[in-house]
Amino acid sequence: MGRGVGLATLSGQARLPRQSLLIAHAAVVPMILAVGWFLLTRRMPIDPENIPAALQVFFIAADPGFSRIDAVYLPSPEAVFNSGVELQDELPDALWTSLRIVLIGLACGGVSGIAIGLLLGYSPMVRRYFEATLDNLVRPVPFIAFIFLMILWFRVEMVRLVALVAIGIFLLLSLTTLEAVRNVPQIYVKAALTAGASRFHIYRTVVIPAITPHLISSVRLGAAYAWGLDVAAELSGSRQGLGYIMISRGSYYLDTASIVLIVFIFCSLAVIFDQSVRFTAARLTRWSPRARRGMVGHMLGN
Amino acid sequence: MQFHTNPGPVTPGRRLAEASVVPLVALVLWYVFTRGVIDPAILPGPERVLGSLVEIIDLIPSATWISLQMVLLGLVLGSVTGLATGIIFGYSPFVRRFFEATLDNLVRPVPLFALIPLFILWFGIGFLPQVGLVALGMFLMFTLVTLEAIRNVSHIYVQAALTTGASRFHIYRTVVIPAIIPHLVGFLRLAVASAWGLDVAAEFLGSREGLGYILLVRNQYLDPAGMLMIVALFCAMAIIFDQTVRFIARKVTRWSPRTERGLVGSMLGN
Repeated sequence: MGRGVGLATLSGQARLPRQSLLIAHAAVVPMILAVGWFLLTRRMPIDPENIPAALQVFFIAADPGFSRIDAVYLPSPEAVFNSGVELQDELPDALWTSLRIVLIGLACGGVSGIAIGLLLGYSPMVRRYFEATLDNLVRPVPFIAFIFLMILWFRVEMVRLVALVAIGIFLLLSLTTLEAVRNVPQIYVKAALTAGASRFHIYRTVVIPAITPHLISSVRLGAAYAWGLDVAAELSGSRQGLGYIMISRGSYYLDTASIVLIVFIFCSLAVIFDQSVRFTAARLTRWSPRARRGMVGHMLGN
Repeated sequence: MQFHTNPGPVTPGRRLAEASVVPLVALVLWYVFTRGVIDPAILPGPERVLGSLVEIIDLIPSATWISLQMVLLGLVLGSVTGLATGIIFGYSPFVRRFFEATLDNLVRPVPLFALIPLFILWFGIGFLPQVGLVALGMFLMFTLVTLEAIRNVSHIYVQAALTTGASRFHIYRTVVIPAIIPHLVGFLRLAVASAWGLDVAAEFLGSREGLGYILLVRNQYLDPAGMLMIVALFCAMAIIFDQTVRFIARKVTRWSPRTERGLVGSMLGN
């Protein structure tokens, strides 16, 4: 331990670098990636002859003695921007479609999932009949496998896309809600019982508040998962949304710049969603004990 | 309000009987509704689905084996690298400072399925790119979950070890890593389910072998019975994986405290 471990560091506040320094550190990796991408797509002073045979497909000769990565494999940042300009008429509509699918799917799946999860936690009867099926037979199943069958089952495309997202979120949240109910400390419930509270009352005033932090992290997971489901649904035989643009540009025109653009849009949307959930979560669970700083916290990754 | 009630011993047989009610009802409903109510071109009945086996039975063993290999390879590669990275992240504040924010804020929420078209362009269609996709997904999940598990290690364990003068490395080896195992084993179930999901998506969006490919071909032939058969195979394998993981998890974490029965347990979903 280079800097000497005093009792003060063990129990007290560790000397953390300033906030601005932390942000600067966190920004290093994305910056390097961005600069690396920019540089890789320039012409490079490498003679095409000197490129190893295995890598030659990725390069094209630019000028004598120079070569460049083939834009089919890695389009330059400018090319991606230009494809955005080119697609500007279709993008807003497609974006709105995808956003709507995710939001409606999340709302339907989320509300019903949490409700069913709570019902499963509340009623031993419901649990006895449904839990084993849900947990053993439904949970592990890759239900994306049903995508092509769902094309037969749902005539209206929008309904099919929303249904896929909603089912995925429903399954995720119903089981994590039940799990969260199970993790409520027994002592809370015992204390409430001793005070003479009824089962329903305990649920409303003890169990539901106690599971909120756990639920929020599931919702965060769910928000990311919903985008994944939306992408999978749109990529498999839909005729609208961002995913459709990606497939049509990609497989018909080998237009990598558009694919990268759409990947970026999907990623940004997912990141924005994630950050909003985190922001809301931090407000809602302000009371929950924060991870401790100090020497031990430092050792355990905080 | 009886505080001490024990809601009677439930025999395993009765529990099994109760648990099988829903699947059986579902099967019966499927059978009944496909007799005339629902067009078999939309939802074929159980007998048609079984009948579709005749056509594709020769292709199934090798295709199943390929899909199985992809999932297993992806799981093993992704989990080992992810675990190692997660432990390095937990161990070194330096690495964390540079990589954690990127990984947690920018990479974690990214829909991996969106990368499939890029993967196809970069690496082509085939076995390795698909394994790569599964492995990438598993790597990300395992890295973040390992770090999370390390953060949840009880501080008192580490404080006790520090008081006895153990070094950082020693504490990691003898305290932190054993302590995160139950958490990781619990997570393994989710990981296995996601690995199957990733594999299915990867196979659907471009493959020349494997179960997903057969499903695509059956889709071209407008053969929903054959498609359902393949879906059932995927599901069956995922369920077998899940049960295996649960079995292992029960063995590994046998020492951890069991949940309480009685009134409180029944209120909290046990």
